[in-house]
Amino acid sequence: MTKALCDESHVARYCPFSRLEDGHPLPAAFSIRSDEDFLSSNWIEYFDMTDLENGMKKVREEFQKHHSIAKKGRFVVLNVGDTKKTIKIEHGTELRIEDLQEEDYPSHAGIWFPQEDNLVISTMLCEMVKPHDIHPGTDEA
Amino acid sequence: MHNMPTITHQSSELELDPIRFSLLEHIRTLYQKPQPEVPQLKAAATEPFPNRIGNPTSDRFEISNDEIGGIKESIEKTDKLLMDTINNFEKAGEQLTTFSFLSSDEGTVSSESCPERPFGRRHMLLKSVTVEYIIGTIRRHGFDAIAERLTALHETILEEREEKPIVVDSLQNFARFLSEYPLPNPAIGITPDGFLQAVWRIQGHGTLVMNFLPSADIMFAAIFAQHDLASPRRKISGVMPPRKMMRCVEDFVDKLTVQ
Repeated sequence: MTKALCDESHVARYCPFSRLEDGHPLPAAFSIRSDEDFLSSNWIEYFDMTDLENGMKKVREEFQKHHSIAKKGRFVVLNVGDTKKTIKIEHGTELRIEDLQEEDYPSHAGIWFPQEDNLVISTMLCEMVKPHDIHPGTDEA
Repeated sequence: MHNMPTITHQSSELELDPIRFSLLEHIRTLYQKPQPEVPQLKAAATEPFPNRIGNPTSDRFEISNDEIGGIKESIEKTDKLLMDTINNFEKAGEQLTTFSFLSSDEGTVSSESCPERPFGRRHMLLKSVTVEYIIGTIRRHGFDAIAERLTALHETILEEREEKPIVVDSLQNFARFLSEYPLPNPAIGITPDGFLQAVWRIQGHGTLVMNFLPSADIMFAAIFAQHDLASPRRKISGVMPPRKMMRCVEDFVDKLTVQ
C-alpha cells in the first residue's frame, strides 16, 4: 500500500551524469523507464530533520544503501504541491506522489504519471527546476 | 592493429569499414563449414561480395573505372544480406550482438578503433566498439563538441553499473539526423532506456526535446513559451519519422535557427 504525500512535502530525485547538462537536469532525468510505472524518489521529510541540508544528508545515506551515487550525479528537490499543481495546469494530468512504505527503504517515494505522457511531463518537470533545487550527489562534492 | 582493406580508384579511396569487413570475413569463415540451418548464408557469402575485394588478407586493391559503381552497389546489397543473415543466426540460437550499419557513403573509419581481426573472436565486436565507431564518424563530420559530449556520456555510462548502455541504433539515428538537419548543437543526454535525447531550449520561447528511438522514429515534445503558469502553453508531441516531425515543429526550428 502506498500513501499520498501532503503538498508541503518534498521529494529528492537522483539524476546521474548522463541525464544532466552542465549540472542541470535534462528531461531524461524525469523520464520513467519503459519497464517501470513510476519515477523513483526519496521523501525528505521522512527523516524529520529541521533543515533541508540535513534532510539531504540523510537521503544520500539511505539512497546509497540501495544504489550507487556518482560524484557528478545530482539530487533535484521537488515540492509535492507545486509539482502536482504545475502538471495539472500545464498538462491537465493528476500526478500521484506517494510514499511507497517499504520497510527496508522507508524514504522511498514514487511519482506516477502515464507512460504516454512521459516525454511531455518529464520536460515540464525539468523546466520547473531552479538552481537552488539542485543538490550535490555526494556530501563531499 | 589490422588495416582495413582500401579500394583505390584513381585519386579517391573507398574504405570498407571494420564492421562490414569483419562480418564479411566471418561469414566467409562460416560458409566454409556446413551451416544447413542458415539458408541465407550462402547468398550473403557469395552474391554481393565482389571478387576484387575478396581477399581480406590484402590491404589494398586497385580497381578500374567501371568497377567503382558496382562495388558501391555491392556494399549496399551486402548490408541488406548481412542483416538477413544475422537475423537468421539469431533465430538459429546464435548469440550475436545486434549490429548497425551506416550508409555506404559513411563507410570510412580509421583502423585504430577496430581491434585486430575483430571477428577472429566474433564476440569481440561489442556494442561499445560500435558506439565508438559512430562517435568517430560524428567527429569526422565536424561535430567535435557533440562527439566530445557523447564520449563523456558513453564512458560514464560504462562505469555506472545501474545505467543502461547507449542503444547503438538510437545513436546511429541521431548521427543521421545531425547530418541531415543543420541545427544548433543541442544539449545531449541518455534516457533511462539508453536512448539518445537531444534538447534545444530557447530563452523565452520554450523547449524542444527529441528522443531518438531505435526504430528510426523520433519521440518528440515541443513546448512553446516560457514556463510561468499564467496561461496554458502550446505544445506538440508524438512519435514520427524525422521529416514529418520536423514539419510539425517548424515554428520552433525557425526560431532556433535565427537565434
